[in-house]
Amino acid sequence: MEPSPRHAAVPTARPVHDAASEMLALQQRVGNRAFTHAITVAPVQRHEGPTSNAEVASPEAAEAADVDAAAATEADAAPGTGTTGPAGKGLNGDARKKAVEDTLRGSATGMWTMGIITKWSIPVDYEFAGQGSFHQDGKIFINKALGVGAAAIVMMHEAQHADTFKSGKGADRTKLSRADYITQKIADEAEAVVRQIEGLAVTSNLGVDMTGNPITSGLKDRYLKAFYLKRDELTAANPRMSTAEVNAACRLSTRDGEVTKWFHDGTFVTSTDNNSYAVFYGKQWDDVHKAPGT
Amino acid sequence: MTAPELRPDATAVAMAVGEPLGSRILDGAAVVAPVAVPGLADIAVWSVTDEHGDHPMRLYVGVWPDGAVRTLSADQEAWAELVAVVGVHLSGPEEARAYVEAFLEVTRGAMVLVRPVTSLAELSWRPGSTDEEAAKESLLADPPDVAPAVQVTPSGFRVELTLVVDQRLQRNLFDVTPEGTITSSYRVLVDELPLPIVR
Repeated sequence: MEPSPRHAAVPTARPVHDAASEMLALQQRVGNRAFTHAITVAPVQRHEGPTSNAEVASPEAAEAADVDAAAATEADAAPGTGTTGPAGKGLNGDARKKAVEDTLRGSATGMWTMGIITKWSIPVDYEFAGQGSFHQDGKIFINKALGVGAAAIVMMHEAQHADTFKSGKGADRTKLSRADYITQKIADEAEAVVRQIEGLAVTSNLGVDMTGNPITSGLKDRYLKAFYLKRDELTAANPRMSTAEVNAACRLSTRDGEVTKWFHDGTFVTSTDNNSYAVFYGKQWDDVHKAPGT
Repeated sequence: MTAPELRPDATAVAMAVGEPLGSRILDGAAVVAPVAVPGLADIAVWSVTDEHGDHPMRLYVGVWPDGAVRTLSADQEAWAELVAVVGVHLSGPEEARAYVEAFLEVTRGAMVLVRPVTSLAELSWRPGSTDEEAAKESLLADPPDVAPAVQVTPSGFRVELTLVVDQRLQRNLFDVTPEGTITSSYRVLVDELPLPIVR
């Protein structure tokens, strides 16, 4: 099989932007009236559950995707190794913080995230230069390599962990059984992933830089497939269920079924030894409970 | 076994990797371990691993002869500067291949899965979406040659490797001098495969 030619850079879905500067530039270019119209028609997450791309897709987005696809066939071998990861471009300091927060305010899940940050006064490092992005001991670290949109998506995930920690509901490996520790750790991870998926469609259609977005289209497809399968099952069995009831039941079912599986079946692996998270959390428990001297 | 006096200064390593991993080094929770690199006479690369958090972390650092420490993860320029200072001697093509594989692991993005493969049978698949499964089926129906190739060239060695990089398969070409200088390029073979995702 012949390899398909490819551009050097890690592909992104659309040109790099950031929310704040894009909004300001747009307002200066077209005036307040047109700007007000533009932001009025921007996509908004209006319902519980996942938003599909079809609900928010724009002709501009489709056109941009076509351009990217055409460009991807123009080059041959790329320089470098392609192994150092994506690098988002754009803002630093307070401007980056504002752009991420503005992006979060574009979706219901993002608004929930901002509520958690405010409720618990969570410190956030928006330009973390180390490995990955994570919550640790009540603080959130968002990697500087993430584009503004991807940073917002990751914030949705880490806010879930921060809320669990601050609520005193974090899994304690010293007190729980091995099985319960693994189950509780993965349950919190699954909930955090669901929040990301729920905020993804709206966020990615805001035109912000999604470099480093952790939710692949494949993962979203798997989520939606399980979600809609459950929806069809429920509505067939009980046509009188309200949409809100159906969505809530589908969310729980998909989170506790399909998404939870991802932490067991090798879909999500650790960056250190590529184990599943069920294995990793089990090893964490074993380290705490091993006999002295072993 | 590395003698204790050869270990890098913990504070210097902590400063290089930054917080919060730096504090984990100083309180003993993170493990700092030597990494052997083919062609380097002495240990100059160290891994820093912390497995106590929600997600494990590992970064690689380089230790310069004057004691300076810099992070090498996702920084290929720092690698090039380090090997130029400490000195590399690659005596044959297989050592050059091992050197390249060490370079790839040490300089990979910390959240990027990078793994050389010698056959498609080595790929670890996960359940995929419909599109991902189709990409997998297409790959297996018309498999590319993924075997590694190494040869001696007038300027040193040429190493060809097939790599898993996150969800894609790519063919990488490396021209390596006996002193360890690397020039590289790559072609994506297939993208969006149902391969494991690093979290």
